[in-house]
Amino acid sequence: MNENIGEENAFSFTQIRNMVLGALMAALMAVGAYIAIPVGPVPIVLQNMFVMMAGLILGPWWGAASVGIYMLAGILGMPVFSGGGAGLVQFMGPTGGYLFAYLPAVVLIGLISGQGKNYHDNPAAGAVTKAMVYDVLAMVLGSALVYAIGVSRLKSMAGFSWGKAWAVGMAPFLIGDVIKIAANASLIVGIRNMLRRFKSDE
Amino acid sequence: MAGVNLFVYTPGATAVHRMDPRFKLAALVVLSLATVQCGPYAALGLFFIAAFAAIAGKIPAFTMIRNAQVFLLFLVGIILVRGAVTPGPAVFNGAIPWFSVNGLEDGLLISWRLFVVLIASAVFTGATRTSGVFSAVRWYFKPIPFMDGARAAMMLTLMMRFIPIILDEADSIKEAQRSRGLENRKNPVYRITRLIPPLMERTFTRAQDLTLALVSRNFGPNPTSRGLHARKTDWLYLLLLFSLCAGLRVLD
Repeated sequence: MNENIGEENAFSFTQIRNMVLGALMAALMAVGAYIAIPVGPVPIVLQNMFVMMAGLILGPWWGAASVGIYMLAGILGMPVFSGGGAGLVQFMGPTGGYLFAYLPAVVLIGLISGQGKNYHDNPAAGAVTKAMVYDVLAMVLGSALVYAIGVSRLKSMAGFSWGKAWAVGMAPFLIGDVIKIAANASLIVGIRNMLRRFKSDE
Repeated sequence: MAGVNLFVYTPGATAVHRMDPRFKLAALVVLSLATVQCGPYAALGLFFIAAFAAIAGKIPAFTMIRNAQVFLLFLVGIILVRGAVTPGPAVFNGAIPWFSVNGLEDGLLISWRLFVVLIASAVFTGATRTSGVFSAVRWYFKPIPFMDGARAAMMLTLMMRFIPIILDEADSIKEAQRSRGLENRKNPVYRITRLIPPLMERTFTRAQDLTLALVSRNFGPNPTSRGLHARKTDWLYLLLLFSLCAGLRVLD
């Protein structure tokens, strides 16, 4: 079990940049679980906002890698899930479906948002609006997928009726999700500009 | 939030620090798995194991967790929610009718399990250098087909490095905004859109610097890293931990 690793060939700038950005988004997801903005009875936690953002700015595959690394950190026992949760127990419990669902959701968001890619670099007002339509549609469908998987699992594991599963596992968070989608939609243009500056260093 | 230092390495030369990172990681997973659906006695036993590791490694795990008030609030929240939604006889002979004894017991057990995992992970991150985590994760990923161990390990290591940086940045931004009275704004979208851009700007700048540093060092799939050397004592500690966890679960 002894091993020494030597230096060989190198990753390209793009590969390293994607790795760093993927890790950064994974870290933001973990931190997002601790940043709570009090709104009404259920505070807004920014974790799934960063999951959506990963799909928007990294695309489907690097977004999935980012979510995968975030999940791996949690499985290994690092307290990165909501409220400091960690371990496989989080996936096995009734709310594990929401965590599992982040992976297909980020791929879906990346794929749909990617359809509007031609408009991302175009500063014209019409192009910005069209890109925003794709982004909002991607986030709405991605969130719907998270709830479809999360609420189904909650229902089956907790023995709830559909009505109760909806009332406990979806209804209280909908306002927060609308706010997060609105915030992401208004932020994404600025973030893509930041990334463009990042890419221009290549 | 500045007190959340669960991911920061604490230098030392204790037995826990000297242990091979692969074994520390395996120990963390074993302990974490042992808490799954465990009963109160097993949870207590697992707590003593995690606490012993923290003391042996001279890791200020309890100070870190005490500082991270959000964890403790979350644990209290679990107890309150469980007490409110679980049916059963009310506590204090019906003095608090909405809070059941069964819910209180359930909530305490769930919170306790989470607390044990939290201490164990604080010990792991506190006693393992980032390079050690990198080498260990890379080693575990090596035999998995279609999985790039070097990239996964690098991303995990970078993620661990980014978390305290982001928390510090978020804290300083929130502090600056509080001084300008942003806390009084009711509109949540306004508040989020005032917090996220400076946070992203600052963290992207760090990410950019890091990328350039890695490129300039020719970072590749086989980077130079610390050698991994398993010793007999590592096997012994891991087997001991496994036996203790298994024993606790059998007796539970």
